[in-house]
Amino acid sequence: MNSIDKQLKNMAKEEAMEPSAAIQAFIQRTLSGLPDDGSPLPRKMARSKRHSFPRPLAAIAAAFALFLLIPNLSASAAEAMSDLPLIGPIVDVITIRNYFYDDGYHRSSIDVPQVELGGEGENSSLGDSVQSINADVQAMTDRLIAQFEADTAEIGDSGHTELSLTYQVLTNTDSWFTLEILVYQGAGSGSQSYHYYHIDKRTGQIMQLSDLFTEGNDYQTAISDEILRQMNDQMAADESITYWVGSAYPELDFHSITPDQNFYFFENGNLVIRFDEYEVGPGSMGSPAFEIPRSVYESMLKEGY
Amino acid sequence: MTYITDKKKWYTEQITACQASLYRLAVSLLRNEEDARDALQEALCTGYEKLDSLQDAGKFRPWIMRILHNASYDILRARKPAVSLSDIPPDQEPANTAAFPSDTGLKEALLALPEDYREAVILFYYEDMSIKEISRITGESAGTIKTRLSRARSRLRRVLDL
Repeated sequence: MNSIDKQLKNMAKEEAMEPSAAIQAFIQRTLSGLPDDGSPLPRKMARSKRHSFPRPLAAIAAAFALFLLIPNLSASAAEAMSDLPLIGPIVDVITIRNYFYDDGYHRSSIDVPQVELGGEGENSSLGDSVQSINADVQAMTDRLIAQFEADTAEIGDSGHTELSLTYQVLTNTDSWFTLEILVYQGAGSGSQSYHYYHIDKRTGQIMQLSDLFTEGNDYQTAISDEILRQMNDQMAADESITYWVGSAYPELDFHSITPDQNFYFFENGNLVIRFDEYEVGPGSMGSPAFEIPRSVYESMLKEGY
Repeated sequence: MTYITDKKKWYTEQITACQASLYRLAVSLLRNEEDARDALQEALCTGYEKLDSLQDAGKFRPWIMRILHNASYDILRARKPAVSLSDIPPDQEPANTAAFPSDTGLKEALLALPEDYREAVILFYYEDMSIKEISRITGESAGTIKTRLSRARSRLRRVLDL
């Protein structure tokens, strides 16, 4: 073994990356939920439902993913690509800061993303939108880190906290860009929240759900009815699935999406509506997402969407 | 494993004994706690279901780590199925190590590596496994593991200023 290997193994011993008490408790909970007699696992009960909906492809095709990745990899490649004739403006996302902390009781892992414009366009409405998104992301990460540091100082070694922020580019075509940010905060039990940023690259505008539809159309009811149908179908097919619909507490039930509801486009072009934890069901349902067939809302869309 | 009378108790003891190794592998591959939990849960359930297929109780640790490797890569594939960083030729890999502060630790440097390299580093440096053992867990040839380790070592040396 060479000296570099020895040095790295020593460093690995010093930075052992031990699981937190929360992770250990999670493992023990999973183990204790296993059947005692070795009978087949009640899979639908035991497993997390956080990824019950297929996450969209980060890129639509391999060639396109290469296009996304290469500018992140080397400055020379990025420069070379900026000379290529392209149909739509180049929008890319890079990690500008990694914030890691781990003292055995409190740990955080944050990748702070920054949207970047390639080539020209910094002074256009697209540039303004990019700046606005970056400012928003920066404010959010600053707030999360400040809260984490305050909690760490207050709780000390009497408890555990976790914070992570990850992101991915869901869509990046010549006309549309979507950045998804997932924040996980844990203290005892954990919670997660999704944040989406959309840009219509043709206009350069930041978009929310209501911006897709023409005035006067009740897209909220049409989409909400489809979601309710899917919720009821899922509950009928699987007794472990629970959404808050038709319950004894109607004021807590899901009735309708909002104009700024979280959404993204699935790879097939269908809208996907995302809810946060506890928004439409108990925590065991995670952050459910519903793919809405285009036929449900197509007649209400503005031209071009 | 029919000679084990209390299957769940034995399995719980084995998992508890290697939970730190399992956590390190999952969190280094997936780089966030939430997905690591999903992978761990999936692997623990799958391992329990398939426990009867384990031929040698003494090889439980590499066996369950192989299952966790598969569970983690399932999540990685769902997350970004198109192109792995390790598919990019080495001359296109980031050379910008200046972005790392001088006090960067091994963990931070590790998490900045492509996923295939992270796994090789975790298993070799943290878990003290041999090339042959890593090869069995990852399903890659010994030559591939050596190449990954060599490239990872080179990157870590630059970033960590060793």
